[in-house]
This record gives sequence, structure tokens and C-alpha cells, in this order.
Amino acid sequence: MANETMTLKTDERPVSSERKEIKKKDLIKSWLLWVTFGQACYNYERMQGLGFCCSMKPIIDRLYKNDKTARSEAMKRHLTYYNTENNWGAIIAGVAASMEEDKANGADIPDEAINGMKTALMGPMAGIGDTVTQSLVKTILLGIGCSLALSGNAFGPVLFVLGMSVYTLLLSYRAYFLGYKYGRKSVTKILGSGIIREVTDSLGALGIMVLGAMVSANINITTPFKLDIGGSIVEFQSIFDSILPKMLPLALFFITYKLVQKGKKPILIIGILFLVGLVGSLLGMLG
Amino acid sequence: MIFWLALFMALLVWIINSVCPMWLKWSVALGAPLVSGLINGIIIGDVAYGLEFGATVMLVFMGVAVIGGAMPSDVTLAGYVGVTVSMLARVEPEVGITVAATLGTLGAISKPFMMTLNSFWVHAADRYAEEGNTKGLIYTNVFAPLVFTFILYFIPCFLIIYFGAPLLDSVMAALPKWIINGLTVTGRLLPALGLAMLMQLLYKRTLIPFFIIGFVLSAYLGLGIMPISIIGAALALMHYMYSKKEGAVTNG
Repeated sequence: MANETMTLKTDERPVSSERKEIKKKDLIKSWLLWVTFGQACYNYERMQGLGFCCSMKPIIDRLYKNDKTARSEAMKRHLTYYNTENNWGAIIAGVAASMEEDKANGADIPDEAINGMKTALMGPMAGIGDTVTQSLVKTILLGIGCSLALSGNAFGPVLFVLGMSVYTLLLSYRAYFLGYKYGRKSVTKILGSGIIREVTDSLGALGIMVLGAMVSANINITTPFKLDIGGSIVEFQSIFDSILPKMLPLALFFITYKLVQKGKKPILIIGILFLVGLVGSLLGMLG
Repeated sequence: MIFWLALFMALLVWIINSVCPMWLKWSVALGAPLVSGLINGIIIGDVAYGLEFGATVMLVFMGVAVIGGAMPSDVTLAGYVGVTVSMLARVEPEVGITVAATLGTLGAISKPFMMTLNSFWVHAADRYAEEGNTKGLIYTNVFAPLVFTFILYFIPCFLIIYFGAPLLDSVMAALPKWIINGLTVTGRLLPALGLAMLMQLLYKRTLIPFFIIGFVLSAYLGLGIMPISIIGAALALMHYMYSKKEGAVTNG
């Protein structure tokens, strides 16, 4: 995607060699390296820094084939601290590849410009990506996968693995090439347009609806508690059922949610639920 | 059989925490209990038990999200080790939840160690960068992470399954009935925690009506997750179209 101004710039330069171009297969390799090993060596010091640099390997190899110093500089440039969401964040790797290409062809792009772009975009992309991938897509696919598995269908887990993999591969591919093609400006434009918020909100509606259904379908707590009032036996569960089926699961869910919201540690909540379960079953209140 | 199963599962956890392709990791790590249930079911020859087991344990870990590398509980350990150990001991899925949740919480100590030690390879990569050797990036990023994760994941996972399964078996046999009943009830309570953590991720005041619709469709009408997801997708589409329109009106 030779951009006009860039071609002009290279023409201005009295360099005998022709424009260095990244081939499509380099870009595919780079995208694959990112989406496959972007987080393989995850570490506190630079998080995905090494993974990002590794994904730039095909680009660096192509652009600085015979220039050891430039190769070394490019590697150092991309070995900095970096952390984003792997799928949506692929767009940043695409932009970086296009910036590297321009730089190799003599455009005036200092190291700080590339690193500045990475740092500026990694936060927003992580914000969107974590929400969409982990709280929305994962929830919906897991909800379906678990309910299939619970009804004895072995396709449930398979569907989840396939669905998640197809989602990540397709999305990251589109993101990478979008980033490469349109560069940093388009990313900033997309981020500013509000379309992302509308999409996350709508997916959130679907996610929270599935959640509501799971509260009813998957928390299977009832009470076997009965009272003998003057010879007639009153079953509490059937009273609850006539008012609001799954009333106990809903109440339990809200109490637990309040604890989570207050910042109580999961391990503490597990301990509380353990006590409630033990005492509840001993007293014949819960079953 | 337990030796090979322990070896296989330990290998799986080791690979998932190192060179496993990230695009596969999303499902096999975050959905570990569900996937593990199917694998164990196939291996021990009781797929129905495995599916029920995996899905039941999975619900507790529904809300676990890895944000910026921080995770309250290690789902891979809970899934591949916790589910295997409990399925070998043939316990009820509800009891398995307690085992998996405990192992997941204990297992969460491996990750900070891994992320600290992996920094070592970044410095090796720095040296390759000095030389301009791009092949070094593959050595350090792809293969080197196998080293520390072997110690942090493979060895403990193997030992826990190999020695833990018979141990859990005898513990379960020795436990009085009332404790097992209590554990079963606890197992039924624990999905509330997973779903509550999920609620924390998804919560938005404007989305509450959708929660109510989802709950009512399931509680009163008894619809399954699949039809509810389809209705949800339709409503999400409406939400998207209307919120867009509204935005245009206020802007214009």
C-alpha cells in the first residue's frame, strides 16, 4: 500500500536502491507470530515486550536484510515494555509494521514516534479487548458450551474451543491488516468515533442476558425445609416457587455480588459459602 | 493409568502456560474445567460424567478474567489438575468444585514466579538485539519460556495428580456423611461466586433490564441458554440500532 507522500519522500532521497517493501507473506508471518506467541514469554519486567519484538521479526528481516546495525536498532526499539489485549491489540502490530516500512524507506520517523504510538494505543486497545473478548465473547460461548455439556452433549466443549479460536484468529487478522493499511490515524479515529462503545454496550446486553439466564439455570440451590403447622405440612420451596421460581439462587447471587463489589477476596467468599453450605445442610435448610 | 494421566495433564498445563498458541490458549486456559472434563471423560471412559463434571466446575470459574496478567485463581490448575484428581476419585461434581477451587487458589502462586523468572529471557533477548540476531527472538520468546514453567507447572501438577487422586479417594472414604453433604451444598452455592464476578465485569446500570429478561426467560419459561442467546442477540441488535439513532438525534 504505497502511500503517495511516502513515495514522494523516497523519490526525493538520492538513494540508488528501490523502495523496500514488506511482502504479504511477511505480514502474515508477523500477524501469526503475534497472535500465537505474543504472550509466550510473559514477564513483569516488560510484559509482552519480547513477544511484540518477536512478531516484528519477519518485518525486520525483510526491511533490514543486509544491515546489521539497523536490525539491532529495530530489535532494541521493539524490546521495550508493552502490554495490550492480544486480539484487538493486533492492530498496533500492523501500524508498527507500516511505520517500520516507512522508516526503512527514509521517512523521518524517530524511535520515539513508533514507541509513542505503541504506548498510546496499547491502553485503549486493552480496555476494549479485555471487555469484548473476556467478558462478552467468552461469556456467551461458555454459557452455550456449558449448557450443551450439562445436557450431555460433547459438542459443548468443542464448540467453545472452536468458537474462541475462530474469533481470535479472524479478529486479530482483520485488526492487524487494518492497522497496516490505514496506519495510526485510522486507529485514533475509530477509537474516537464512539462506535466501539456502542458495540460493547450491545454485546454487553447480550452478555448480561445470558448471565441472568445462568443465574437461574446453574445455581441449583433449594430448601428442603418443612414446617408442620397443626397437621398440615408447609413446604417452603413450593411457596418460594409460587412467588418467584429460583428465588433462592437469585438472592444468593445478589448477596455474593455485593461481597464481590465490596472488594472481598474470592478466597474469603469461598470460605463464607463453605460455612453456609455446611451449616445449611446440617440444619436441613439448604439442599 | 494414573501415571500416564498425570503425565499427560501435567504436560498440558506446562504447555498451556508456555508455548501454547495464544489463539488456542483463550479457550483451553480460560475454559480449562470444561475442556478437561471432556478429555478426562474420554480417558476414563465415561464421557457423560466428564461433561457434567467439567461444566459444573466451569461455572465457578466463569467470571475469572485475566486482566493485565493478574488472575485471582489459576484456572488451568483448577481445570486440568482439580478436575482430574476429583474425577479419578469419582466424587460428585459439586464436591469437585471445592477441590478445583482450592487447587486454583493455591496454584495462583505459580504465575507471579513465572512472570518474575521470565524476565531473565528478556535480558537474553537484549543481548541478541545487540548482535542484530533476529533468530534469537525465537529462541528467547518461543522456546526459553519452557524452562521455568517446567518447574513451576509440570512438576507440581504431576505430583498433585499422581499422589493426590489416591489421597482424595481415601479422604472421601473417611469423611463422615454430613461433611460430604455439606460439601455438596457448598458446590451448589459456589457458581454464585463465578457469576457474581462476571456480573462485576459486565455491570452497567442501563443493562439491568436485559438481566431481568434473561432470568425470567429461564426461571419462568424454562428456556435453555441457546434460545435465550438468540433472543439476546436480537435484543442486542435492537439496542445497537436504537442507541445509534438516539445518539444522532442528540447530536443533530
